Amino acid sequence: MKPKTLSRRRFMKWAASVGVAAAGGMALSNFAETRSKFTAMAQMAGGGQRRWVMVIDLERCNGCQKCTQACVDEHHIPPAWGNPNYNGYQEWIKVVHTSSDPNDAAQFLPMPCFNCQNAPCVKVCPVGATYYNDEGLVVIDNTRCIGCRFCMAACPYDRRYFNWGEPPHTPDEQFINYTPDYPVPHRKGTTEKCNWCSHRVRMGRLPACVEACHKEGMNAIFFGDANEDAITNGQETLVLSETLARRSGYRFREELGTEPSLYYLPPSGK
Amino acid sequence: MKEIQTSPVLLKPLTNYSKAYYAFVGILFGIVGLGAYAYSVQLQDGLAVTAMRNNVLWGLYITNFVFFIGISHVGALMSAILRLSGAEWRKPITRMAEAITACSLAVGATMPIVDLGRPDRILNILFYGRIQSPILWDFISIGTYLTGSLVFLLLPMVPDTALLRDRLGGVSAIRRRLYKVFSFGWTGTAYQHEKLEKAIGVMTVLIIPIAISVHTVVSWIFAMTLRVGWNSSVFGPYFVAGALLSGVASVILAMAFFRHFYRLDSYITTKHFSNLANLMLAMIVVYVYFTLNEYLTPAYKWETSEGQLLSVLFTGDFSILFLSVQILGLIVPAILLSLPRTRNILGYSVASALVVVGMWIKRFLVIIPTLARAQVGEFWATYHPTWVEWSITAASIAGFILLYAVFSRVFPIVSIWETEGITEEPSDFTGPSVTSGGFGFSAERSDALTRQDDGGVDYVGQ
Amino acid sequence: MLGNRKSAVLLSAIALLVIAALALPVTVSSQSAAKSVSAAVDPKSFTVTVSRYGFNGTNAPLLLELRRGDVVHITFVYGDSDLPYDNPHVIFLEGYDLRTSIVSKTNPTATLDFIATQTGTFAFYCVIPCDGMLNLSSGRVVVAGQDDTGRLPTEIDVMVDEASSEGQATSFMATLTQGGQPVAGAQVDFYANTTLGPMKIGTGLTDQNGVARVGYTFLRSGEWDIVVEFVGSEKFGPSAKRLTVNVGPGAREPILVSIIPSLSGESISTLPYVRGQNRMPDLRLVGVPLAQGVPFITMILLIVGSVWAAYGYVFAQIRAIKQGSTTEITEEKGGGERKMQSTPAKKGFDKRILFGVILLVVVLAGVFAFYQFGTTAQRKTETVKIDIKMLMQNGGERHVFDPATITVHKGDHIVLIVTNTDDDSIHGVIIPELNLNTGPLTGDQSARIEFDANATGTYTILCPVPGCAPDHAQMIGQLVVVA
Repeated sequence: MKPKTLSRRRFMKWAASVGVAAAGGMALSNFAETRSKFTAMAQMAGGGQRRWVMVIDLERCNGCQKCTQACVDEHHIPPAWGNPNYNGYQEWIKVVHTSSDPNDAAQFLPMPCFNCQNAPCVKVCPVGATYYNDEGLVVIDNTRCIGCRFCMAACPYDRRYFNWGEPPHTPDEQFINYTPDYPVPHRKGTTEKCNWCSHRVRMGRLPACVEACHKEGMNAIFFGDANEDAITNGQETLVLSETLARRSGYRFREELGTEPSLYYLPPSGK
Repeated sequence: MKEIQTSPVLLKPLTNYSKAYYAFVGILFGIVGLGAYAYSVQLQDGLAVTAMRNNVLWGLYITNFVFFIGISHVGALMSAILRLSGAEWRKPITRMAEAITACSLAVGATMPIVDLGRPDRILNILFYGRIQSPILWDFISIGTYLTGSLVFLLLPMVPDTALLRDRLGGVSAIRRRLYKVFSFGWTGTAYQHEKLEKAIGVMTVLIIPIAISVHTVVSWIFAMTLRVGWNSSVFGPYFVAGALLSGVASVILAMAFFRHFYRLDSYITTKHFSNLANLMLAMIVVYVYFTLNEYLTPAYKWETSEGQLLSVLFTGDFSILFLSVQILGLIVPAILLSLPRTRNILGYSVASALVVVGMWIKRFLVIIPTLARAQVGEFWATYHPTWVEWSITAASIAGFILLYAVFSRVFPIVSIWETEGITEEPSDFTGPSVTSGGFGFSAERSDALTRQDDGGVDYVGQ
Repeated sequence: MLGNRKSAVLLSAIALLVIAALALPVTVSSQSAAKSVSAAVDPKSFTVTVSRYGFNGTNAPLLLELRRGDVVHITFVYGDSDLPYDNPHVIFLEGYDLRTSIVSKTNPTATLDFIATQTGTFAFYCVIPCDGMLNLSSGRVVVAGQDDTGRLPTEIDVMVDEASSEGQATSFMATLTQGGQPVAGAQVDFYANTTLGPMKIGTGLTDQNGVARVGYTFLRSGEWDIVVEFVGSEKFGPSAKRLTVNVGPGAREPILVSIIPSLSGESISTLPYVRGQNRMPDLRLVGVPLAQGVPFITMILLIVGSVWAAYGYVFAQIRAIKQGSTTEITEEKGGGERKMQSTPAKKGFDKRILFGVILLVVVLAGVFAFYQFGTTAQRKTETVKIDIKMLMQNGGERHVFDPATITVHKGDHIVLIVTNTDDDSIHGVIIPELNLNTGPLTGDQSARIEFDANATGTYTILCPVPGCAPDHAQMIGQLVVVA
């Protein structure tokens, strides 16, 4: 004998199933949002797709930190709230002083974000606020970030910074439209990092640190496209594969498997 | 209308609220209020009011989170495993354990939200959630476990709630309504018993893997990163073992507390303590085994980066905490639980308290030293929690105790129908109030119990 | 029947068409700047547009060939007026160390005037940070001819020796001659023009036939501009030549990314993406190979789903308890009888839940599979021409956008070419919601705006020149973006 409320129960069960399906569908709709934009090859001058790389020549870097200064100026970078910092600002490109011994070959190691191809930070973000944009660069959407800092825990290179308080705002920031490529104005409670000046790269310009190093005369930072096999520091354009082979380019902590897009050229000794 | 032939001891806490109780609750509310104020300060000024910075980016909040989720495993362990293994002695203490689970989950689930930099965007997890992220696994897992543990708490309570609905006098209308809702129309028929058995049976089996999965995915928040000290494959079972240990210890403490303050000597006997103490001893051994695995293997190799972490744990800034956890938090309790001289309720309580505090410090030691070690450059960050973090920590503990205390005053903390076999009688029965069923309602009570009324107290329903 | 005259015209038209078709470059084309045979007195004039796309609208190397002694007049014209902001440039010529004044929106022309006294190849490029700086890095002035040391003028030609596709070696052959005779033992430099500037890909020494060969492996397909350069020697003068090569696409494996990365070794660098779209597909769950991803996700869904389905069963029991209190009162007659009465309800109930769980899993798996393996529409670039016209209506002038309503599809890359056909007034096109502005256009002037139609909606097209005409406020159009 069936209890007479079976039909109502069944309806409620179907309703619950639909509700769960809707919630699951919402989560899966993220794939749709990105999947529907997943189409043909990129159009750049000459056609083909980009794979941005950076190469830093450690022989030429003298630790002047003009790159850090240029980055700070370009992005109105927020303060560091007491962490290791550059004049109180976050160091999106950080020049690490590796050794004080003057006989040591590489004393300074500029470290911007490494733009890993297998980035741990992108993997762990619960809301997809950290993602690869269409330039293939890792950027952060500060309008979506919930501030859980999991990406910061996951980054093995300590290249992410958190806005622990409200960042100061300058008057001219009001006229800037926020985009993840150029994350100004900065927001409290979200994570920030270097994003290889994605806003400049789209415009056919070099990142601020590359330009600053070029202007300063060191020309130590190269920026380029691995698919075009070309890198430039603003002064000369070199063949990427040949440069890496000739100068034994390497990546920092390669064994972690994050596949950084940044190569270092070791100095040839002093 | 019949008089309840049950011990008034079990029902007395539900109606007799002493001044001490009100004072206790008042203090707890005060602490919770302080925590709420501290959180409002944090909301206004941002996480800069905490001591967390770019290196030590997770601190007390996540420590509390892992700690409370850890304690919550006791419900699955006590209730489910002991039910499945048919251990009859578990009956008086299952509800205590299940209540701990529910309260600690409720408090623990708020901790990550307190830790967020943008809690106003918490719904982004629903809208934009990425299933590849361990935080989403946490969300699903803890949500499932919370639902399950609430059900697992309320279900075996149904006959008691029905009893209270019908027979408990001197309660407010809201409470009576509460009993009515949560008794699900229980009248004690065989059909209902059958349904109840089925439901409890399913939940018993289901809750165990859910509980194990919960603390496993919580541990994966750390183990899925590449950080030194976290990049370990043993974190899953390690954390589960720690959770079970801290859970058992908290049940022992709860038992001791209730036995003393609610005068439940006849229900919670030395046998219960003895059994749980043995269980805790076994869990300590398991946990020490896992600790050995976790620290001996990197110590043997002394790989550079791991060695740096081990140095600060063994001999550096964190060595005092580390050693006190191992010695005072594990070894000393094990000794206390083994020696015949200390195998009494006081000894068990001291051992449990040491274990609980030790496990909290252990969670701290898992999180902070790894984060303090800078991955680029050779320096160690420091972390000295601020008043905001301490206040919120205190508020979380106070909140947990508050929820638990209020629960024990609204619902009987010892399961009446399972320990005395007294349930609501169906209206067409005139015989003895015993029904058959699957859970063995043996009238199990100690010999010291008498079934007379306690000096004129009348529980006739209204 | 066609008359003789008509058929003659028709035939010559057809012949012209055939000749023009034959003259179109097929795969490999070579190009050289026009030579001028004027006397040294007449200035050699060049007009070069400078914009963020490069010199003359492209980042291909621009070779200006001169002879020693030429009086040179190069005019640089600002080509970024379609931008809503100013993008100033300053062009610098190496060797002669000459610098133009600023070329900008407010100062749209600047000139370089000099006499080509030195022979050789000299680069010119933009030296101030600007949008498109990298595209403006490969200008070249080639001054050939006899100089004081009496060097003989040379000519260089370059061809692809062995064409190939991306990822495979391509070989180039340069032939250096002087007066028709091969020049041997000369060093010839080969440059590939990249979007990051001219890059030297090799150097070769000419053999006794004056031929130098260099090989290079292109890593991307498409058009490449190659420049060969002979800087000159004691005896011979410099020369340079440009060649456009089309590198074919290489064989590509279908790109599949594993949900567990280490199992496939793929990384984001192998995923194609679309410029202009904001977000790349979430890695690890796109194009998942059947063998890896689907079972994993389905397993998660099954496990979590079955747990919640079991909860559903438990809730159903609770419901039964609630209902059972009023209906099912059974006498305790015998265990067997009771069981018989309760079993049918139990069985029917279980089946429904099982069915529900299976259906839920199938629905979720279907949704998942659709998003993983479903095809997506091809996005394209769409070019739309907008003319700003003056019409005579009702006895008065009326200025309109033609067409007044433009419909495009979301996700497409849109190119708007705006032409002001009104000779008497200055107009333009501004779409405020999309931050697009052609700026003021004089009569018959065109501007080009490119953007991506990312969001659906209707956007208003207006004229940005206040007071351009009495009916300025009525110049309204619509840009509709549909899904």
